[in-house]
Formats: sequence, C-alpha cells, structure tokens
Amino acid sequence: MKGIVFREFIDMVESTFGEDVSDDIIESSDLPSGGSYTAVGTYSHTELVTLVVALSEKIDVPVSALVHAFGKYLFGRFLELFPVFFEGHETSFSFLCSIHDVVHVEVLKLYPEAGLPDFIATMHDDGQTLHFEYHSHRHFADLARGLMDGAFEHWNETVEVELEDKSTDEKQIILFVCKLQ
Amino acid sequence: MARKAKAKASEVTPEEKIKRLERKIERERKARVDAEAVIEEQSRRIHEANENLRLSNKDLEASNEELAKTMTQLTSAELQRKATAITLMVAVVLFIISEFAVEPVLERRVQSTYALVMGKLAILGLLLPTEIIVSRLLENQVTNADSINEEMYLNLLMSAYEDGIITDMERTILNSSRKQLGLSKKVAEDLEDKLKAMI
Repeated sequence: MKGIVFREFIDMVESTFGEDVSDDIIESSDLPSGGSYTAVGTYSHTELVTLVVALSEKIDVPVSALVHAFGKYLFGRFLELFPVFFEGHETSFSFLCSIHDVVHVEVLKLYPEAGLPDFIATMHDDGQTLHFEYHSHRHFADLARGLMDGAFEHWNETVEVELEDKSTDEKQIILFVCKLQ
Repeated sequence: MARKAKAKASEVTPEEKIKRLERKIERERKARVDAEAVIEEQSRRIHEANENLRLSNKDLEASNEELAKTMTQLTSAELQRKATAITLMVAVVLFIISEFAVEPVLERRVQSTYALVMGKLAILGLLLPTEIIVSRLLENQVTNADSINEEMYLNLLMSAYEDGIITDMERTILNSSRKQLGLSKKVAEDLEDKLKAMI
C-alpha cells in the first residue's frame, strides 16, 4: 500500500486525537516499518490494519467506523493534493466513474508496482443510479465507502447507498448501489 | 472518547513527553532516510531508462540513414530504367521515320546509287545527334540529386495519400523527410498540388 495512505492516517490520528495517541498506537503495535512512513514508500497494508485495530482499542470505536472516517478524511486530502482529478466533474457519479480509467491509470504511471483495488462503475437510469463495485484482496471496502461519502459531501448530494456482498474466498467484492435522492 | 484519550495523554510527565518526542523524531528521521533511498533508486532507474533511450535513438538514426541510402539507390535505378526506355523509344521512332517515310521517298526520287547512299548518310547524320541529345538530357536528369530527391518525396506523398487523407503523424513524417531531402517548402507544395490534381 502506498506510503501516502499511511502518512495521511498518522496525520489524521495526530490532528484528531493528539500526538500522544499516535505515539501510543505505534508503540503498542509490532510494525515491520517501525511506524515511520514516507509518502513515496510502499508498505504492507497489514500495517494499516494493525494501526487501525490499535486505535480502535485505544479510543473504543469500532474498526469499520474508523476506517470509514479515515476514507472521508482521505477524500478531502486527495482533493487538496491532487485537484486535477476532480476538475471538470459536475457530479460525484461522474468522478467515481473516472477513478478506474483515469485516476488509477495515472497512479500506475508513477507507481507501476502499486496494487490498486478494482472499481467497476456502471451508470443506470440516466445517471440517477450508480453501480459501484469494489474488488480487492485487502478488504478495505469501508475505506472505499468513506471516500464515496466524502465525494457525495463534496458535490452536496444526498445519495442512498445499498450494499451487496459478493465476496469470494480470495477477495472482497462489494457492490454499492448508489441512488441519487 | 477522544477527550478521554487526550486527558490521559496530558497526564504524562515531562520526561515521558521528551521520550515520546524523541521517538517521533527518530521515526521522522527514518522516514526521511527511506524517502531519500527511494528517490535515489528512482533516479538510477530514470538514468538507465534515459541511457537505453539514447542508445536506441542512435540505432534508429543509423537505420534511418541506411534506409535513405537504399531509397536513393532505388529511385535512381527507377529513373535510369525510365531514361533507357525513353531513349529506346526515341530510337525506334527515328528508325521508323527514316525507314518508312524518308527512305522510300528518296528511293523513288533519286536514281543514282551514289546520291542515294549520300542521302541516307545525311539522314543518319541528322538523326544520330538528336538521339544523343535526348539520351544526354535524360542522363543528366538521372544523376541530378534534386530530381532524385523530388521523386523520393513524391513517392512518400503518394503512399501518404493512399487512403485519401494526411494524418498528423503522416504530416510530421513528410515535413521531416522534406527537410532531410533538402527540398524547399515551395517545391514540396508544388509537388503535393501536382499529386492532388492527379487524384
């Protein structure tokens, strides 16, 4: 997993819960990287899982809620860091449809070894419904959902989301059926 | 709950706080070192890729030169063939004229054998220089670099116009070939207009 995700996670923990909390969860976790992350590095995604679980225990908030909150936070950060990907999109659906074919293509140009999740987006009912399918062996559908909610908020939309779990043994597959209200 | 965590953290002693900060500095330092290593590795890869590009560029230039040479040879051979054919045709035409038009008239009108031979020699004397002039003119054309280059450019134009349109890519190739062949813009445009008029 790209180092930027780790850096943003630590930054979020520090700004939301304080530096001591981030120090506590890093110290209490056994991390191969020792908890030092650089945005240009690549680290095992299990380190993020370990950190989230440690934070969940520390502040007594369920892991899925934390991952979801981190997703929303990450959307705001991506918006600041990479505005070019968000320009020209009038709706969140239009942006979500561009992730797989535009954003991830650009990410792969910079980081050919990046293991990115697959997002299969299909529009229905004249753009009123979006089927957004998340495929990944990293099981971070909650993170995807957080990012999606960040997008809905950014474009000031109310979207009803229904989940359909189609996961297999090897990977998590979640179909998000998004209906614009 | 976040407040609870913060409240707990604020109870730490100054010594404990220093330790925490030291750990944080150490993590940041390690992150910086790691980042530098990544950047160094990337620089090395970019340098290698650049080097490979430079080498294949060199190869490309060499094959390009080879190709241009072959094209010149081919075009020159083609022009030579055309010139030979034209010279031959001129010879045939002159032969027919002298054999079937001029000589029968002479034979009918001139009775003395001596005068007839002289007349035939005179015709030969007139025809020979004509043929020599024609073949000289053509030979001149064949060895003239300008005409070879124009012919080559015309061949390129024809293959570009095969599908009826010139794409941006084809235009780029045509322009760089025009410069390589040393043709002026005007000459190239004239050739293109000529070709367009033909199709």
